Amino acid sequence: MVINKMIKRTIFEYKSQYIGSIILIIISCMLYSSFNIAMLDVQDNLNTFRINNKLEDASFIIQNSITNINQLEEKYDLILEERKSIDYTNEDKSVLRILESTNKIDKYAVISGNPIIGENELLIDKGYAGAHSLAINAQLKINDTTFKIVGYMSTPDYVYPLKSESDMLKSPKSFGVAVVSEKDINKIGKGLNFYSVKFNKDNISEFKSDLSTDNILIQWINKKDNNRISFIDGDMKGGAAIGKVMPIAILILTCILISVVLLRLLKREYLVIGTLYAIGCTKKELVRHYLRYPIIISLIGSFVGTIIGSLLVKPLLSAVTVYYNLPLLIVNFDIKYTILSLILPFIFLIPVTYIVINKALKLSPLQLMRGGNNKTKVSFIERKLNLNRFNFNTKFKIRELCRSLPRAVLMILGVTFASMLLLIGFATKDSMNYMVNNSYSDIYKYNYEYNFNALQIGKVDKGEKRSLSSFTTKLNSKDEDLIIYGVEKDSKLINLVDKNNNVIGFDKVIITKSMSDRYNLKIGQSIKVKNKLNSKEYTIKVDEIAKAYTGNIIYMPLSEFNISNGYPENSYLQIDSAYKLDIPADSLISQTSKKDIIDGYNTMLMPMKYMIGGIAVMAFIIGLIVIYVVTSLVIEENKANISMFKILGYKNKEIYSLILSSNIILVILGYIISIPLIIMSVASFFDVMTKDMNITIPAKLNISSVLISFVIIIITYEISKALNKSKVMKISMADSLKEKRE
Amino acid sequence: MFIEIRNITKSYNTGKVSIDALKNVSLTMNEGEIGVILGPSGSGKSTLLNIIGGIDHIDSGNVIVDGVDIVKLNDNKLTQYRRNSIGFIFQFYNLVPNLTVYENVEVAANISENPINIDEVLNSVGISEFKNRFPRELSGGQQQRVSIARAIVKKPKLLLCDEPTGALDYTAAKEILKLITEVNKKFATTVIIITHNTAISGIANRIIKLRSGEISENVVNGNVLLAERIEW
Repeated sequence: MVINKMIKRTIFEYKSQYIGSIILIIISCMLYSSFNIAMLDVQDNLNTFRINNKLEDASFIIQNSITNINQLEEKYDLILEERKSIDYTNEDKSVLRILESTNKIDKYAVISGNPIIGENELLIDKGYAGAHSLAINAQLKINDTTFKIVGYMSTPDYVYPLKSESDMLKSPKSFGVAVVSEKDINKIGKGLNFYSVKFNKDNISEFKSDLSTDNILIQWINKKDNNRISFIDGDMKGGAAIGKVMPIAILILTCILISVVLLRLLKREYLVIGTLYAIGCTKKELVRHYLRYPIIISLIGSFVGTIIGSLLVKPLLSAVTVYYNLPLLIVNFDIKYTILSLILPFIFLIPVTYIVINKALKLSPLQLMRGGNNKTKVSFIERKLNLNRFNFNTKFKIRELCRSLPRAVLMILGVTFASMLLLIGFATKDSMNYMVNNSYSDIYKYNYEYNFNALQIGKVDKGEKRSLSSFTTKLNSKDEDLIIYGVEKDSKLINLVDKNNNVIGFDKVIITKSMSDRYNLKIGQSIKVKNKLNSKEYTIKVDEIAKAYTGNIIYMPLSEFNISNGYPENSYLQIDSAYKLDIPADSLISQTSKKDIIDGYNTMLMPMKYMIGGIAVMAFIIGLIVIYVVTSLVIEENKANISMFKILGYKNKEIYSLILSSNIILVILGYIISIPLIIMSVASFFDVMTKDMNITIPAKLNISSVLISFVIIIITYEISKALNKSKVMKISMADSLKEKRE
Repeated sequence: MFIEIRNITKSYNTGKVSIDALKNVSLTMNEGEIGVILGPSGSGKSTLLNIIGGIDHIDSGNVIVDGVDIVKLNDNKLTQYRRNSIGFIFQFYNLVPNLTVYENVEVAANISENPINIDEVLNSVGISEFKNRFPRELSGGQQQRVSIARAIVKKPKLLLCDEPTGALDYTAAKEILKLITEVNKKFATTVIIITHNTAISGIANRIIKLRSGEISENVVNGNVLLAERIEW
């Protein structure tokens, strides 16, 4: 049809509206293809790495060495390997954990450089090496032995290098891992002996019972409870959720945007459409013509977006594999996500725009030539508004807002979405901040935590005794893991408060708020727990719920803890202290300082700041597009009014105020709506992310973040207004004189 | 002289072609007069009205209104001129569709330093009972009354009417003309009406005929008729 020639001209004439829509589709397809393909690749890499390098199912520490490894392997059809680690404290007080090279389980993979072949060779994790400027071929002196760094490596049990498996935040500045040969590790020192096990059958309980027969299990950590192993799984879920939810949300927004733009186009062309009908064009032909607009937009957007997204896969993949110490084994461009990315805009846009076009073209040629049925229809809301008490400017702005419901909805949704995007970063940062402050400043008042590798008995001179053990319990018909701490009744170094901020004493059984929320546990309720180490079962009654978000943790008096678990009286596994204690390293599993944790948190916050900045830029672009397009639609719809205002003697400033400022109410409304929505979204995002982790992150949003985001949104609004001012200036006064309205 | 136009010329450049809209046009009008400018399409009457109204610029000549040469005014001063001195009435009324009758008049009152009471104006143009209605709920004649109310609420010195009856039926058109003459008398407002309809010239003190951008006739009407008396 010859009218198709109009498409290019119309798109060029109203380019800002169409370019805005195309950019939104580009962002959507870019996110969809890059995130989904990269996350799938990370998952593939992770799975391959875990299978090839034999990720453990659990690791444990036992009082006496196991002498019958082969016999146990045969009996229970499992792989068991004795391992050794030494924590070497560097001059800068950072800890490098030296692991013995393994043969059967948790085998290292070389990321770059060479494997260990000769003596005094060492492989190191890239994060620690980077933070301490340790290049390949550099020398590293550990105790009295000088090692040559032959490469960077990763092991499946240290994909996220945390000092303790229950830590949450890695800190390459203060902690890293390295691998040396079996022979070399003995040169360095005695170290800690532990075992890693991989099961081929579901016989974990039998194996543990066997171990406990004439030995004492000190610690048992399933891979699920080991944050070094499981954290990446949560992040993968989070990444996959972003890759699916965000592009769809942007596409929905684009659908509304394009529908409003098309509706405006159709209204503008009613006369042409009516004339074409009158001279014999069919509705089918016209629908096909107008559908070309969303098709062209989708085609350009999806094509460009998918290409950019595909180009981003590798950098994204590299970033993830560097952040997590993971070898990059496979880079696949999953064809399914590539095709979906290309067709997704069509799936969303074509049906919606078809409905809009079809509805508009239902009018008769005569109605169309007269400008359509609803050209100046007064809505119910407009009619019912009693604005007598307001001055003219306010009246005009309110009426302007009520004039077009789809336009108002688009503006509110656009601002809500952009604000949510902007607030994601802030809410994540505030939530993490709250969690860390809650855990490490408000609850744990000690500065050093010492974990022993065997049960200790007796009194301590300095610090407070604490014991802990892992348990399972049946909650909501599912087996759930939890930790019970035995705490001294008069503990001063652990501070728990109830919902009213009243301090709770340790003569009671206390559960964390996160545990109470997750399993709907109330005060007075009893739960049956089973000790993972010695399989001892008992029931405990919840006396208090503490405002703590560190996961499934129960606190109970140390004396009761020992009795209930059948541990010797006055025994303990941990000492908490406000000061550094002189405890021999070979009697410890680990020692943690609060400073390391805070440092780790700050290190982690650095990339988060960039993330917040990146997301803020995207939010700014989306907000700018939506507000700009809506404002330009407002100007277009008010062209005759603006022209008439000019004739009547309104100054430009007065016209800007009347026409462009009314949307501020919608912007504020959109922003207000975004606040509860973002808190809910972040809460569910954290729920998905931490589902299999031993922590809960409460969703928080500080007033300062709300204010900063609001200022950014208002700046976005002001910029789009400023960009539209020239359009108002360009409207000629003569336009009004002969225009037929009403 | 309230209006003194001296040798104005105006041409439009549309790409390669230059069209002379007005050629050496000169005319005068006294304060309180009604002037009717007649002419076929393309004769330049709308251009002339726009120039007097401060909407369009000329190539050469002078346009003196109430002692001020508006040709010399900058954009801000022209805005001020339109704001304080000019009332416009359009062929298609140009009301704001989503504002009520009262609010449409308020559009002009809002920027006027000393406007007439809106209810009083609505009453004088006979539409006070419709003040809470929206334009589309009114007939063409009623809408033009609103347009007149909007024009006179700020007590303009000069009322410019661009085909004010062009979209109306016979009865409504005569009522509007009657209203314009009443406004002219009541507020001593100078009125310029441009129209195709030669019969309307009956109500004018001065009749100006334009043809191809030039004044072909400029006469003082010695036999001014009441609006009710004119026929077409």
